[in-house]
Amino acid sequence: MSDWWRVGIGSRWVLALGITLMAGSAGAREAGDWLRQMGQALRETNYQGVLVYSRGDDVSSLRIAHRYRHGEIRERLVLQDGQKAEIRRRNGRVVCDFPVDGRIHLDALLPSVPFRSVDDDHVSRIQRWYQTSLDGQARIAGHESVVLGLTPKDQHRLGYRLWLEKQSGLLVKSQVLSTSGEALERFQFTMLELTDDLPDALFESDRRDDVRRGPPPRNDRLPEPGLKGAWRLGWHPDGFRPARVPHGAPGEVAAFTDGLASFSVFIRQKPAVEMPLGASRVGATTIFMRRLEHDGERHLITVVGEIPPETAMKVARSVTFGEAPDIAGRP
Amino acid sequence: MRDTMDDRLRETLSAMMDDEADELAVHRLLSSAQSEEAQERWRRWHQQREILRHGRSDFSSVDVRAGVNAALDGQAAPDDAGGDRNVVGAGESTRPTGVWPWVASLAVAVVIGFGAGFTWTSPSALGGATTATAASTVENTVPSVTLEDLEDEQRAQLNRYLLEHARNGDALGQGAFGYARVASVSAGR
Repeated sequence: MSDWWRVGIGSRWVLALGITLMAGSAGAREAGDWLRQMGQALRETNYQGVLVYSRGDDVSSLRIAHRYRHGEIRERLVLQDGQKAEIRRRNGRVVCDFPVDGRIHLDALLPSVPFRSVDDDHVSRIQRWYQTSLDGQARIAGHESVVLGLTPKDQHRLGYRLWLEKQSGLLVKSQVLSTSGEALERFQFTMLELTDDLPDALFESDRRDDVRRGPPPRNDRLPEPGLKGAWRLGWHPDGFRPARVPHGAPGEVAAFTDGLASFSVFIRQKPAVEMPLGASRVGATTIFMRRLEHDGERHLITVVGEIPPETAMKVARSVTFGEAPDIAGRP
Repeated sequence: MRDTMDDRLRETLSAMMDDEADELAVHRLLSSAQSEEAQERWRRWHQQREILRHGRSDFSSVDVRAGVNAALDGQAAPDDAGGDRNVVGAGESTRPTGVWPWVASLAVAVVIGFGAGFTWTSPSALGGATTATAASTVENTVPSVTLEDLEDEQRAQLNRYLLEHARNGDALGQGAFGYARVASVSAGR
């Protein structure tokens, strides 16, 4: 028998524990690698297909084509049911065609989500607040995929399951999960072709005439009147940081993200529409509303985000007036 | 002879539709060699009667959402034991090796679902089962709002908040998926 077996039982336990920890660490790194690859695949994979989106009672499908060529990204999504509508983007410029509102340019409104890369800092941030795991493999729309689990480490967040195509790392399916594991929101490709053969015509609108028939684009901003006093947020879950708010007056809306989930806080003085107070859910998105009196004026505090109702309520109830602007007053 | 059997079948089914068939006739029908044909005809007549009486067919009671979601989840849809709602694809999706049944159930659910009025963010996007979700998920300590009871302008206001939040989102880039959430609100306004 070798000398190795002569070490004490305690030492063997320590060694076994070390191996286990190393294995766990290797697993975490692998999950992180998949996250990084996913970020790159979202930009650089060429594909076309059909995806289904389900949120609450609403089930929708979109046809999509995505091309990355010579450093340029082109993408087009066409809604397959209900009203005719589509979204086109070329690098950072995004145009949405909806028959009701006509053509809407979203380039200033969606600055980073579609093209964002998932760098090391982003991955480590996610892994700080979510337990990442590789949960096996599955076949999605005819493609072998790995299943990535993101389980929140506290009760203030929702969980995620991501299915990434094995070769490219492309996200082919995702679920947002409640604290009890119920799928609240789903995306999934039902048809997917990974191909470089994507002619320009696929990215051109075939209904140019239609989009001009609708009334002029509406101003989508919430008509928030200016606030008299500063407000502050007394609490938010650890790990959430202020995010850019490309749309909305400073001090009246603030957004926060932990790198995966996000929530927004809206403060409205003398709301024109009397809203019910409490929490509701649309798929994975919670909306919590409460009323707050300040300086003789009524204010409506609204928290919207992909967070559990209890978290949204706690955030909303932590809003106070009268102090110097804190994290929420200057997002 | 064939005409005679068809006539009897039709008469018995007609009586059953009107709740006037006697037990012996029903028993004879069910045990006959034509029972499959009878079932098909019964189902078709029953569907037509529902359309005539209520302006809807049996398909309107199909739980499309549960069927699609179950198919997307790769698991059986919840069984609605308390009612007579049909769950599309629930049986198929439970089969361990059923790739084609899974695809078929998803396809059927989607086709029927969209055909039955599921649209890109229909006006009911904020109501219906989302209310049930809220009611079942929100703890007692969190007061819940019943979305289906909202006035139109209240629903519009909620939609604006949802859209604004979707634009504020700085979450993990999900490519095309990230747009679906935004578009679902935009098109529904």
